[in-house]
Amino acid sequence: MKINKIVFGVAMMAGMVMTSCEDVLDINTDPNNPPTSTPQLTLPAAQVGLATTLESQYNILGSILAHYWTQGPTASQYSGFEQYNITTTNFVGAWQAMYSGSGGAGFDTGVLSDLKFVKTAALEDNLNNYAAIAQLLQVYSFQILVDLYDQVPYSEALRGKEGILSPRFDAGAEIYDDLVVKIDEAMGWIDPTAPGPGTADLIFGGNMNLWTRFANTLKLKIYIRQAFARPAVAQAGIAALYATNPQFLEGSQHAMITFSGSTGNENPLWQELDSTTPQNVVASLTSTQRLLDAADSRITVLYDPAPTGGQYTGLKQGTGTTDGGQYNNYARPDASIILSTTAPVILMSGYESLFLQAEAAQRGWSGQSAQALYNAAVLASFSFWGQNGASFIAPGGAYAYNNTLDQIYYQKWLSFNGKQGYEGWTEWRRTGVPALTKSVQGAPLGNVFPLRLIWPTNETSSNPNAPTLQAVDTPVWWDTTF
Amino acid sequence: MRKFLLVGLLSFVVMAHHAIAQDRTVSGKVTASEDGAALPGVNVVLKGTATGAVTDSEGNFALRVPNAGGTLVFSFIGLQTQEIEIGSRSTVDVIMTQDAKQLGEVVVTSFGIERERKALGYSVQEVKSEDLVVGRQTSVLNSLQGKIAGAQISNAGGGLGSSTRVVLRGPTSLLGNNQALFVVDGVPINNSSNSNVQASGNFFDNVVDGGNRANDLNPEDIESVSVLKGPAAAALYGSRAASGVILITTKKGKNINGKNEVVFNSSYQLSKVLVTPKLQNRFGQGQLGDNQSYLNDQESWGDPFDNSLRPYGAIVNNIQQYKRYAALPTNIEDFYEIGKSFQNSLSLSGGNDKSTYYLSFTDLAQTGVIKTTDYHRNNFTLNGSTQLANKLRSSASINYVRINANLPQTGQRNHAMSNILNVPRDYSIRDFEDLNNPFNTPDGFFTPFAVNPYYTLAHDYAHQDMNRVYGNFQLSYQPLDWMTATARVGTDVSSDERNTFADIVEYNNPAGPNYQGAFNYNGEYTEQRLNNRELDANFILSMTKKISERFEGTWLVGYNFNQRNASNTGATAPDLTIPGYDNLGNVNGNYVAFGAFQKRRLFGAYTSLDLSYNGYLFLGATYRNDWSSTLPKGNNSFGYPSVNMSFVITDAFEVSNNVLSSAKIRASYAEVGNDANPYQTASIFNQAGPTGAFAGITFPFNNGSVIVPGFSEGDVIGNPNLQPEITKSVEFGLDTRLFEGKISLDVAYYDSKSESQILNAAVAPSSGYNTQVINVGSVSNKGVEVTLGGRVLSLGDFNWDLSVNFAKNKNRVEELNSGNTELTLVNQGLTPGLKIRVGEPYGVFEATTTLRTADGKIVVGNDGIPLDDPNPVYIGTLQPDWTGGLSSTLSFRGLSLSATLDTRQGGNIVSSTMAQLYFNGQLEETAFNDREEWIVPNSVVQTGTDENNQPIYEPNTTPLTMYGGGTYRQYWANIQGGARNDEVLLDASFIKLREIALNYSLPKSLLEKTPFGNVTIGVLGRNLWLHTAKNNHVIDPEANAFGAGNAPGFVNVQGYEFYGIPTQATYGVNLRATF
Repeated sequence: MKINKIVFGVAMMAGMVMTSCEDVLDINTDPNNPPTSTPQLTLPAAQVGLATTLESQYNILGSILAHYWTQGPTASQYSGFEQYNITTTNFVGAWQAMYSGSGGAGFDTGVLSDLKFVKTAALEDNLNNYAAIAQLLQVYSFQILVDLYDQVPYSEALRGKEGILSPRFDAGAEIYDDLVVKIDEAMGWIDPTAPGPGTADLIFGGNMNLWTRFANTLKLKIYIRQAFARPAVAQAGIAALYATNPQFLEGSQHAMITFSGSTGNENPLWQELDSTTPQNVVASLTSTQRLLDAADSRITVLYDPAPTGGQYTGLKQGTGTTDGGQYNNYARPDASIILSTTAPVILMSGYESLFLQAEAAQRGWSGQSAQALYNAAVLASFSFWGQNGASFIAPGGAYAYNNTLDQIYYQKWLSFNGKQGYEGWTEWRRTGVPALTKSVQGAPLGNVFPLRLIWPTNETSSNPNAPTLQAVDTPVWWDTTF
Repeated sequence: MRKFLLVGLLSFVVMAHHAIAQDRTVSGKVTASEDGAALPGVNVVLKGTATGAVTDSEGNFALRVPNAGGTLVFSFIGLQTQEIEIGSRSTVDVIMTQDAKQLGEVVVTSFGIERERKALGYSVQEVKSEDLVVGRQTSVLNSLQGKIAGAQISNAGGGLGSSTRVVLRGPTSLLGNNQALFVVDGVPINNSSNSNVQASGNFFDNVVDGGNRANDLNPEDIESVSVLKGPAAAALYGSRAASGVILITTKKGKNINGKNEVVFNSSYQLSKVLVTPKLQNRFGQGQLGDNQSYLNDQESWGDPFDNSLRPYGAIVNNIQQYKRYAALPTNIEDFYEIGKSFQNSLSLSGGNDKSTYYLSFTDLAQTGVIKTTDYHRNNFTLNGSTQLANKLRSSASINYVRINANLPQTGQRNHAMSNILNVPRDYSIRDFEDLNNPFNTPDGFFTPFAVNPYYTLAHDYAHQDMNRVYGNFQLSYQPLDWMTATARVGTDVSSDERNTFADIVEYNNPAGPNYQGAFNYNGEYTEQRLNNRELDANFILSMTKKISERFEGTWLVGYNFNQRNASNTGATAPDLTIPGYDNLGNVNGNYVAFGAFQKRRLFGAYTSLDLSYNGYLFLGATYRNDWSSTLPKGNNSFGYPSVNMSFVITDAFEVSNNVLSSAKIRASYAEVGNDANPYQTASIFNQAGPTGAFAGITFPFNNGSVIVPGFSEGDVIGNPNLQPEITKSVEFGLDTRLFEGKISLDVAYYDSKSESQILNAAVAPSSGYNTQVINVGSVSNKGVEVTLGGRVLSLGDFNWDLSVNFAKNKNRVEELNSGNTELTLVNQGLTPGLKIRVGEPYGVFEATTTLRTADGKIVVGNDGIPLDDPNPVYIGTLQPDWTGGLSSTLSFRGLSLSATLDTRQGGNIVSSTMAQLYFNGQLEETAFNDREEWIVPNSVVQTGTDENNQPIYEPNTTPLTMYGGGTYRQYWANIQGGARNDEVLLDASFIKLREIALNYSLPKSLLEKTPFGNVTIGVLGRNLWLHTAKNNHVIDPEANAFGAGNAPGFVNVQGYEFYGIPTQATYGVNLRATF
């Protein structure tokens, strides 16, 4: 039975191979990427990711909508912002950068998912200082998202591996309330004597005292934002905060990340505006006019003069692509300080801290001297830009204290020029100061000002729990519209 | 299934014990009627018994027969069966002739097994050598265009060595690669295609199509190509065959009485650009509609041409140039060179009764229509076979391919193809060629918005140096007449080295026009190494035996091992220091290294049983089980069956007549399983690298005082419970020969469904992840294929052969993961976007359209410019409605004229070239109304809202003007910005004259006294004529920005043209001689 022997032989051979092949097949471990990480390795990723998204995405939008900059005449990258044509496809990448990242080496870092990993892994390893930093940055990030979008996924967010693939959207006010709780929890984890992140913390170099100051300032920022919408909550919260005798960020203490300027480590705004798409942004007439009127010396560092004519000529907001003429006729953001490869990204500035304290004082909620805080804030802003503001706040000076909230708002708006543009737009939405005329290109749309961003299509198309889209001129929850 | 096998096995066992009484011996020799050569392997059977023999290599046979004699039946596939009375003879010599009117033709099927067409229960289409090389294509795949029903074969563009994508019967996998598997002489080969890595990280920058590896084959070395379209035909090849198989059989040496054959072929071809966009010739340089022709603008929004003498360009060295202000209608065409191609091949082959050999060498040298691009390919092939001992036969094949090329760049950013679109209608592009001319340097160039295309061509390059060796070794042992054991091991190793350089562009002269407007470009340099290694081994035992006079069977069992390694490594210097120095050391800062490695293994065990009854009923069944490394341990074993049946009606019922020579019906059902891509079963972390819209931060991060590493959580939720994908397919077919076999008609209907697809399903980003690997979704393909051909006219020596094919495939995405109705294929800012959507064909375009009122009126803004509909609309798809081809050959004695037409109707493509030409005011449409004021026809403007908050519209009275307000420049330019982008979505229909060739074979009488056996001279043309859809006067719709569709990070990204290299019409001469 020769055939049977052959058949048997083949069967035996096959059988042998099959039994041994399980090991041979066990080669499906990705050799290109690690299966896990540590808080030390992921904290810097999250911090730089946050700085990149703020600087290169929300900062440009904010700086245009707050009338610091406007679309340049010979390009069209940001025409949509001037046309108030802010759609579901804007900020698709930024939404991913904040929540999830977009995969693969060399791609977006998901800020909130990374911060969540840092916090969880750090608590398991008793690295509580890491956990505190991660949670404070989560609070900071979620506040920015609420300020931009109002309702966002919060309580069920970042839990994909638990099977929650379509998180619910929480109301902005509810998120705000919980952010305060989270700040208190994080502050409880801070222990300056325990091991800290050191150089893995690119913001404060592991200085946990500064993180405590950051936490207090952030809490103040959250309450101040509600000053119009929920004055009672804001006042009570601020009173409770001051009762703890808090330390805030001082005028020269900025929560920021610096860049070496080497290839791939340049300031993200420079990468976005200067390296690949120059000519998109020029100075807005709204800002240059005000700075020139006040003879504000900061104009010399906020802008470079127009190559043609050498003046600080601003372009009327939104006229770039209609009758703007040439790029070289206009002043543009300063190339050595704002659009520089080594410019820092500021998450929260010392002068912002002082303006928040000044407002609390001016409202009589903190028992501090509003005038002193206002003066310190203006000086700190000048000082950040290498200028001396003393003469401006001196009696009779252009910015001398006049005992109004509007003056604080206005100076705060001036101070966000060039850095924290998103905060400039957000505070303008809250305070209505200064009064802005509509972009020429936005005017045809009727009575519309962008008051929020619209949830991006990548979220709404894959999340059945997303609410009905809101129009771009729908105010967010704390915006009482002036 | 199991029962089927058992029956087969038992039959063989019974057979072995069969014995019949015999008395005397009859012997003889079988020869072919054509050339009198001995025919080995002919079956000789004593009619009514199981007694039989097979002729040996000399064509001799000997058989014991009863004293009374009887009838001998001589049969051989492809030849007419003969029955001969023995009578009292002891010697029976037989001459056998070819069987024209039967379905007796032999085709190559799985594992290179030759089978009669009539025995197949599924569709196989074959293209022979002479039809492949008629157009003297340098690509085997391109030469199949128009010749295979149901095959969509798309060449990516006019660039040298550009890749070709082959999809059979529509896409089956949502995110798999969907291309057919290529098998050469029984061994799968690598068909990868990779675009170059870009330092910018943007996939659409400076795209270089480095070809697909199946296009490396030399058409001259190919004997035939068999296309196994459906899963039934391909089931034995396992996982990778779900999209069908292209089986390539290479030429082998033949035993021609020990004589050697030498074939020399030489062809020389010239190529000229076939399609350039239709442009306006009425308006010249100028911008923003302010009519003051900015002399350094790249747009054509200036004054009407008036033939006046005007200044142009920059002032350099105090010189202002002047020229006539008039259109140069061919300034873009003039940029393209005449491409040249010179191909020489020489082959030697021969053999004796024990051994054969085949040796060939081909040299192909090409220069492209884009200056500085060239392509050089060498193919060496050596194969041979020998009969070792009586029952042992071995064969081996080794092939070496070298490609050395300078390839053109397309896509976004600075390269010649984008720069030539940025030249006004009155500028001569050719005049930019002299780089010593101070007006042609970056400083002196007329515009800061583009770089002199010749400057880019002189400085930048994309070099490819590809070395590849593939081949196989085979040993077969035939212990018994009816049993063969074969071991075949094949390997394919390639190393593809790419060096891509974009030089620094510096503006030094403060007086130059570009000094203030343009920004220095810092250059980049990338070295990339793509290595692929594949090992494939098969052990096959096959048994063929006549079970009885009526029953014949073949049983095959086999075992397969496959391993594939791929790596893509290299480094890129994103910012250079010294101009012109192409070296990684020339980096300002750090260079960025990259490396990706992939390895997978698969074991397969398979069996097939084919039974035939009386030569008219055939049954086949297969079963294969795979064990794959890419699936999780518990789920990595999966099996799938197929059955097929073929019934030759005319033979069974003996109803053959003058009209209907033969007819066969066939049916099959098949399943094919498919494993996953590697590394999808677990979640990972990535090296961090936050990005904005245009650039990004690289880690390790340097903040000026410390350098820290960073890793970020991956955005994909891996799946440790992944299951294999499965494709199920049924097919019915009819195969007939009419009018004494002169006409053949083949019709196939199929219905396939690919289920539990492995895909990265989108999840809400707020979950912390973007996708989750899951088994969901299904895609169906239903279609009809018709091939009709034959000799339509025969008058003496004059013959006209015609073949027509038609295929209609209906592709539909049936299901995605729950709660989702769409998946995004591309969202990198390309507009319109490409999506997968339930209920639609695979790949639908999502376009932004003009906002319209309920009754269809266009809504404009206060400036008179149409507004966008805020809700994107799905219009258009990648999938054509139908495809077809027509081949015709007229022959008269030694003269033959062949032509192939190819058409694809329906489907869409997005043209970035068109968008750019709208923007620059160059496209014909932009001269609408002679650029006099006009109001958007049928338009309204919103004046307010009513009590129900519904918009109130009034007729629009605001004209578009040259100056201020809403300009018509803005009207057209907005399209490039993404507005109304349905206007760049083109109908991709075309009809192409693929090939036309006139050949003349010198008469034998003329060659008798020369050493030549055969001499043929010919002229040929390719793509001489192209007809496109009405809305497309811009591009060849076959263009594809991403080669065969595997841009890094993407699969199946078809349907985008991005400043591509235009297709060319080719004219050539050819000489072929045999010795």
